[in-house]
Amino acid sequence: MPVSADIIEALRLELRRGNLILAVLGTLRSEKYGYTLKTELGGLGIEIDEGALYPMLRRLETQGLLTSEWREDAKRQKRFYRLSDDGAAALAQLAGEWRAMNASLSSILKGVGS
Amino acid sequence: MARDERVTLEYLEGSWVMNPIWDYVKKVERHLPAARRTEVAGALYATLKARKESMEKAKGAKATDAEIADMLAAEGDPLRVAERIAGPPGQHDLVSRYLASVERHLPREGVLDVMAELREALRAKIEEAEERLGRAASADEIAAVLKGFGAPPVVAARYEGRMQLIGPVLYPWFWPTQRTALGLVAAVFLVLTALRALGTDRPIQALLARLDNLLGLGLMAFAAVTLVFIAVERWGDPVKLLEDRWDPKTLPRDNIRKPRSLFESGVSLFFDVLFILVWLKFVPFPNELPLRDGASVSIVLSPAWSVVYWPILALALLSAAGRLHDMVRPAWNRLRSGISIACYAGGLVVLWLLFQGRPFVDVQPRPGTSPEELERALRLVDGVLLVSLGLTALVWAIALGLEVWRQVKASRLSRGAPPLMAA
Repeated sequence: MPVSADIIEALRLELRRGNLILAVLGTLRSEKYGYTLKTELGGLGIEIDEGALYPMLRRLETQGLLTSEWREDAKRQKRFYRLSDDGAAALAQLAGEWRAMNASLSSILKGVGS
Repeated sequence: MARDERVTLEYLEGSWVMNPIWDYVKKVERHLPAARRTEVAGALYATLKARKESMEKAKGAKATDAEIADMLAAEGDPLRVAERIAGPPGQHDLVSRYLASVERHLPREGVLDVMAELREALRAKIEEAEERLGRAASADEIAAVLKGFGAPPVVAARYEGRMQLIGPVLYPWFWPTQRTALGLVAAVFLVLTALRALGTDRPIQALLARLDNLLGLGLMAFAAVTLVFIAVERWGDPVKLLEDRWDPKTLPRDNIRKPRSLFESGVSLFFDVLFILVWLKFVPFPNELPLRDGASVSIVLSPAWSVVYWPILALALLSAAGRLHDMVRPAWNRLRSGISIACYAGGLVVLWLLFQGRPFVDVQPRPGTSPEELERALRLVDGVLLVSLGLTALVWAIALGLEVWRQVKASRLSRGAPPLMAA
């Protein structure tokens, strides 16, 4: 029996969730506001809904991984985010984890889906 | 602006001291339309806060009170500022309605900050759409942008960021439903127990003796409602259902009427159903009026009521249908308003017919009642009904006028909707 599209979608979302946080933290090594962050991620092939992005940014800020400030840009008030010192340390740790995991997975998945 | 919001934002600023920027925002807020109050006040706060911070950055020190006062004075009179930033009614209708809907589901802490950011994000998204189109976005195109952003309860729930047994779509209904269910169970139990107790020799003792059953019934009602919610959450996938079906154009217009709470609708529905049951004689209504020891009269409705028996039943059913509709869609809408208008107008016609056929009641003697007592009882009950039905007619006439006015207002706002712009 083929796996239903709903199950595949749920698994895909689960797979993406952690990676998205890593992508957001990595991109915010330089300061950005929500819209430019989304555009930059989209340009790199990582699509994220605004409805999910903004709450995620706020959560990461509450966790101390990001800092933010309201500032005027192009005559409009925007909230700019960047990685905090704690966020940079967490990113370095998570990036190490991800690389190790990626290397293992590449070996495990050799020949799958290609 | 509520004190807790102000305190929260002062806290976010890292200061618990009263803040002149807040006082200013509060003054502007008083002149803003209710539906846009939090959203616009949040944006203004963000603007002024950013201005203060850039001033502090430039001089390398904290801004003094005098400098902040100068900055606020340069901003202008609060009334003019409110008019400038809120814009004419209807211009930002759809985006404002969306933001107001998200706001209703957000936790109070930091709500203004979230609203300001969402507003800016939506503006950027709509501008992107307009750039692509090469013209101003139509209402349909703005609705499509909002639809892509996500249904308000789902977007708001993401800010809470915790897994829930009952998800974001159903959760706003969970506690109101529990309260309504518990209220209904308690009311039905008390009414039925009281009616039964009245038939005993010691009604108060009989009532008190049965009260302990209420706790068990309440717990059962709570468990039943919780199980229904969990089942719907597990097998109904309400988030997907809502995301697929919600239409930004049906977002509530808070500026027309405050949405009815589930509790309010539930209580009204209970009384409507109780009236229908009494009217159909499924539930007996005590109609004996004691006059003195050993003498009483039975009150029965006069023949005038037989003419309006079916219209009254139809109006009560229509009213109950309206309450049910309120429970599903609590915000004001034209269908619900139409039902109210029909009920009030129909009710006034019924009352007019009853007034034509006075007296409202007949009295039937019980053994031991004299003709004078009978006459006095008739005058008393008829007089009480005359005053109460007269007041009812007055209230319904005012309510009818208000509802017609809301329909007119909604028509005007709908006409004003096409030139929708980014907020």
